Amino acid sequence: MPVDSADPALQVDALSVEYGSPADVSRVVRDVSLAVRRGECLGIVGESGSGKSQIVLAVMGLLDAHARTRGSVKFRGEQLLSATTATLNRLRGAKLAMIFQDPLAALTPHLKIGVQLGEILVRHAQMSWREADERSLAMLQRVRIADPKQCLRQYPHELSGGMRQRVMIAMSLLCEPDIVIADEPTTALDVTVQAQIVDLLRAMRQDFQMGLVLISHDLGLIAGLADRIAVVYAGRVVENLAVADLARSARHPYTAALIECAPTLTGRTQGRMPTLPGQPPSPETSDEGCAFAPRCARAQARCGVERPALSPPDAATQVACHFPLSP
Amino acid sequence: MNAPLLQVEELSVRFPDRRRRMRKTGSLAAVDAVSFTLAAGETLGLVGESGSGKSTLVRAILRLLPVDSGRVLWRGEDLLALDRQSMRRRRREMQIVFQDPLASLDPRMTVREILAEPLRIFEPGLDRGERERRIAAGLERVGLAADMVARFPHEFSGGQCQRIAIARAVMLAPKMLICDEAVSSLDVSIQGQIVNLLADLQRELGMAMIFISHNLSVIRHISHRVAVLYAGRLVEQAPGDRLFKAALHPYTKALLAAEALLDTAPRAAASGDPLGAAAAPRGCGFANRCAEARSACSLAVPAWESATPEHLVACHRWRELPPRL
Amino acid sequence: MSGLWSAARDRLRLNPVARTAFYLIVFVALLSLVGPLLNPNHFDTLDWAHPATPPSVLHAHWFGTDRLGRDLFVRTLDGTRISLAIGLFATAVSLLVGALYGAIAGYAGGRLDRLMMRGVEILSGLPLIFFVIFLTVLFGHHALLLFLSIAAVGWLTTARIVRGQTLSIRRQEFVEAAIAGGASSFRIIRKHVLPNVIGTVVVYATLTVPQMILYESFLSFLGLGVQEPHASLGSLIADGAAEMEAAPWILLIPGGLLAVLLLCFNLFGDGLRDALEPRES
Repeated sequence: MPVDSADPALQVDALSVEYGSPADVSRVVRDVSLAVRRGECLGIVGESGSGKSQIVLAVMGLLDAHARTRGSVKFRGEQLLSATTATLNRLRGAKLAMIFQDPLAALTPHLKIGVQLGEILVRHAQMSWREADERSLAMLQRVRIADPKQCLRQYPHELSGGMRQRVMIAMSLLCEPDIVIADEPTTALDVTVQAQIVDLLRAMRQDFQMGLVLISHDLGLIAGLADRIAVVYAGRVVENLAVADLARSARHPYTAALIECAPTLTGRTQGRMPTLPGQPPSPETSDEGCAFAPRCARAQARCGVERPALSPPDAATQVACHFPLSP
Repeated sequence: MNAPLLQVEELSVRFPDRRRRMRKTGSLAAVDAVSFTLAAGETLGLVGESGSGKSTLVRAILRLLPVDSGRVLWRGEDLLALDRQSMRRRRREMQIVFQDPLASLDPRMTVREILAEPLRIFEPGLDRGERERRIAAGLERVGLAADMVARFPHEFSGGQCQRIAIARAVMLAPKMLICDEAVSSLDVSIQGQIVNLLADLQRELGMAMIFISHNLSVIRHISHRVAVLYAGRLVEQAPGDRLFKAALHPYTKALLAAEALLDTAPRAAASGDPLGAAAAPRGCGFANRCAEARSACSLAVPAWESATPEHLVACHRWRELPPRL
Repeated sequence: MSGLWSAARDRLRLNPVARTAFYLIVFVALLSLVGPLLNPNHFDTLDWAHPATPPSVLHAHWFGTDRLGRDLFVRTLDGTRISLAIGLFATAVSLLVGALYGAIAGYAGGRLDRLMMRGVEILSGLPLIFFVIFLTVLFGHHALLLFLSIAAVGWLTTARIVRGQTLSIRRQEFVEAAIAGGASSFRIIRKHVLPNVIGTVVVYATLTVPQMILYESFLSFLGLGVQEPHASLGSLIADGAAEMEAAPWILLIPGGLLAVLLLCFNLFGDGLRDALEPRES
């Protein structure tokens, strides 16, 4: 099926993920919609319990067996939620790739790097092992690994954290994917190494023009890489906006609070640290009203009863709030 | 001039290098001849990445780990020379809060039992009513409701667990509180709550603090002075604003550049990965990653030099390089 | 502590297999206490008129009689009672001794740990039967001797398991926090290590009881355990084995009861372990 490059490669509509019995249901993702085209980078920002990781696990078909999903996830026009394992296996790792937070956990400990990389090419691109090795070597060079030949022969635990993450990035790019999902790719790394990986991701975006979905709790990180941001709170998207005018045009109070808490954006470093009172709600809480209301300085009676919807609907910039901040 | 509360002198912690054990040579220096002082009521921010030895350093100070050489003078008395009983008695004056809030609380004890423990150990004569009152006061002081005493740690969020751990640590009003990445595993919007709480408690109780973090912005908010660790060695020490405005050591500059990098375009200022304890380098530990390194840097360990009486740096070339602005 | 136990109890209640196993054990135990009182026969009365009769209602020989005409209903239930008592007592002793030993070894670490575990290893390697025979020759057949020799087997494995658990708990941050808080080693073992180890110990207990019973049966089968005219399940099985072809019920009834008991303890132990497993992430 011919793919129009203007169509989003990944289209998520009204995705919901639930666990547990009907009496005691845990809704971790509630009615989330997003779209990512090739060449653009969407950042998904949220804190713990926001459901941001669950969204992409649902996209990749990596949720627990007892998770219940609703809605639609279309990748290049194919419906993923109801896809067979064969279809998913064909797409995953090849055209739809994922980079995980902890590379040590994500790489197979007893296989050499060369084997793990080569395996992908042999399976998805039907290459011979010799060709696969050559391609892997080339890719390791592109991700700026100092001694790629040596690296191919090593085991994951012999590499440093930064190198492992580079290997993961290389793995995801091997088959020239349309979409790469990176789930907190720098969180487990040291700050100086984080900077290098961010550099690398920027460069890879330029070179490969893939769509990149970047998930993080670090707004500063996302602001440096993404074109657009979806802010997630308690399983819902509460704001969609472009990064270009992030600091100025954030309209949801939660987004504004996150910006306050990211000193690399505000430049403020003295005095009391900015913070939000209370804590995020658990996935078991009900759907009445705005989930952020208990912590919101602007909340009024309406917020506790009526849940705000994203408005304007179907626009690139949206906010779900009854009393949004003025732009 | 007040004597400092804590004086660490040439503290070294070495782990035997298993690979070389047969030849009985070589060991891995997790902490290498570190010296610094801490005054009463002061907050020292300790910055470093993985392998820097910051956690090992504070555990060695508290004698939670064996120390190879050096002295730890607490109000003039060397802690390392004390017998175990005496050391245990001193512990009420120096407490620690750990990184993982849930792991530092015994999952089988209620909040009441967790907070009662310091009282039972050091004030065994308290009657039950008085103990309950102190526990309730302790909870309130950290912003938790007193009716939470009967619950278990797993019923609380990360931020709340950390508050409980802090309440336990300050129950006996210690003179020094060590926070080992105490907010690193918390959500960004909650980190501020805990940092502000610690700052408030410090003022209220007049505690000195050693605050460890890899997150420079947090360090900036809370520290009076900052010390930078790399590969087990202290490379720079200065009052807070001075360090952030006019850092002298290339590694400090690289850290600052990395933090600022994330929303702008400049390139990362340090290549490679932080040095772990695996290599015991001759010369400067940062030389292999430093953009400014020369051959002389790998030959000798740089000595402490004073740019100003309060700003110390260990770098061979600090005079030639422009300070970061 | 009560909170975690009540959560475990709830989980256990929802497990039909474990629940059934538990009720069955209770039923058998009660039966072994009450049953003989319901039957007019005594365990050592020789009914020469009805030797080796199959189970019937006549003369209240509900389980039949053995070769000497002794009522099997009473003997089997008496034997069950004795086997259960031995199993429970031996388990209790072995757990107490083993848990304390293992906790100290695991917590102390280093040389003391190595020394203590070396002791355990040496003792494990010794053939216990040899000692039982030896001691029996020295002191004669004494009930207490039987109890102790069986407990002597059990404590070794308990010590190993508790030591392993202690080692892993010792590394946890809340123990480090307790040390930093000024707690003495004794206090830490008592308040932090043992309560966290108890879960494993309890599960292990339910799996040890059947082992103890089996071991006692084995000894009795060899003639080293409970002596005539008293019976335990093991000695009954030994008697029954001799009559297997002519009077199979003499073997099948105590054998079946032993099998059921062992199975129930194991199933209950499994259920208990699942119930005590910490919350899923």
